[in-house]
Amino acid sequence: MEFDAIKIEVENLTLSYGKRVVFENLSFDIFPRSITALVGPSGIGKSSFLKILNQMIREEEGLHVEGKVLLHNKGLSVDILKLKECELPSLRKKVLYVAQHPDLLPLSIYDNVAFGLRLQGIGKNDINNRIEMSLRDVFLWDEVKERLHVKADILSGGQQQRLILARALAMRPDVLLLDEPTASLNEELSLKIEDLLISLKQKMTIVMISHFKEQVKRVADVIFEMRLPS
Amino acid sequence: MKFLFKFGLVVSVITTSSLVFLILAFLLYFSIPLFDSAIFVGFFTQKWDVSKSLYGLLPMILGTIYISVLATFFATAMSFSLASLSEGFLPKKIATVVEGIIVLLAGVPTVLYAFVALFLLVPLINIYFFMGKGLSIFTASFVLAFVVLPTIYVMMLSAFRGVPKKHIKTSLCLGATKKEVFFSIMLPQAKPALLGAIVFGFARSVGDTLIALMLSGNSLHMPNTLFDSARTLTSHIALINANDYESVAFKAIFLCALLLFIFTFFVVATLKYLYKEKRYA
Repeated sequence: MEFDAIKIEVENLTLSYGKRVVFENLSFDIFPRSITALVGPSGIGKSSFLKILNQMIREEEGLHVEGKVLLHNKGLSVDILKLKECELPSLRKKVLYVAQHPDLLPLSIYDNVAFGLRLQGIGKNDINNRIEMSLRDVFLWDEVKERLHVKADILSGGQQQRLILARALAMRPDVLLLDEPTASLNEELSLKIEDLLISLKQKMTIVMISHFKEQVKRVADVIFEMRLPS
Repeated sequence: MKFLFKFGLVVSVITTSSLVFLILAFLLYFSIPLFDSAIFVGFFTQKWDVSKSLYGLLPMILGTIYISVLATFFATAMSFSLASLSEGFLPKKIATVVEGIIVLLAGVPTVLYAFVALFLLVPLINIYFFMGKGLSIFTASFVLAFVVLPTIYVMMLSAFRGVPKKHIKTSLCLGATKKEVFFSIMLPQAKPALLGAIVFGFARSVGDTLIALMLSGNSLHMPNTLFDSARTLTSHIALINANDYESVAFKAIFLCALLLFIFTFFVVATLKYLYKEKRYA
């Protein structure tokens, strides 16, 4: 299984909403195969920053982004802010965003995970293997293996959060963007997911938002603190 | 004020529902005597000729079915393409212009469509395509499709808009293209409401009188091809000239109306069923 080591370089990134500047002139590097944690108060633009990295920000109305976000991969550099509309689907398959609130599709547990895999053109046998593997990774397999074909929205909040993480892992992204990945989980499961993230950084670049200081200290290689302008 | 509002609501509900029952009672009152008579079976034969006491409604029933089905087919194809483009693919500004134009079509009086078709489409078909077949099932259906189009289009548009934005964003976030979002998420979720739009459009086609009256040729013969002239039940009601209120020809009008009423009932029942399916899906 081959994962690409992607480095992200953020240069003078400014995000504004109308006349309100959410953040300005952000410049820092996100190193390949590492975990970068974004911390800071609510409303400072952490989630929006993650959405800039996979360009879902373009789906939000009224937001304006300036600067550069360079993706370095296999000797090539691409400024993702300059990508054409038709290039976005392939970016989003490589740089996957996992939302804070489980954004399930109105499909079964199986199809929620299979959806992204089908978009990647993966065959049925491979899809079954990947679904099982990713559900095991997030400790959900034993809880859902008997009811894979029931609607996913019957799952509890914690199960839904692990399901969307499994959906992302099944797609084997090069960059994983996690917005409060353990917000709905109990302490025991949170620790298990943290261990999973630590193991995953051997394969991919992870950028995460967390409000739990202990979690950030435990898993992050780099901590980037966003502050309100003084 | 609150009392007046509630009172107004109750009065409206009672008035409209009683009106439906009154229409049904009225139609049954005039039609039921025909059920007993020996000529009832004759209504479902192929020949209408008052001078020979033949009252066959089958050509009109078939004419209604042919024209409304074909018109719904044309209108569905156009509405579905336009609504899909508007909601799934076109840039917002262009989609707004398209929507504006189609909604504008809804405001054009039906007689204008028929009038324009009579002077442009009918001679064109007569001269260049099917000699002397300008006034036919095909012409009436084609023009009727434009009358029904705004109804189906607006309902289809709202069906697509009813798909939660969060589902569309989630699929985009996973790397879906607009086409994949449309076919994997929007279409399956909008399906029951889309079918409802088609059924509603079909009911609208059946109920239209003027287009068929002016463009189908109003022949009393059984139509064999789409380029034959035909008469619909609604046109038949408008065209029967009966001076004797006790005559069978006059009473046949009520039977035509009763058939249309029963048909509408089944259409509404289908619509209710489709929306119920969606609610419990």
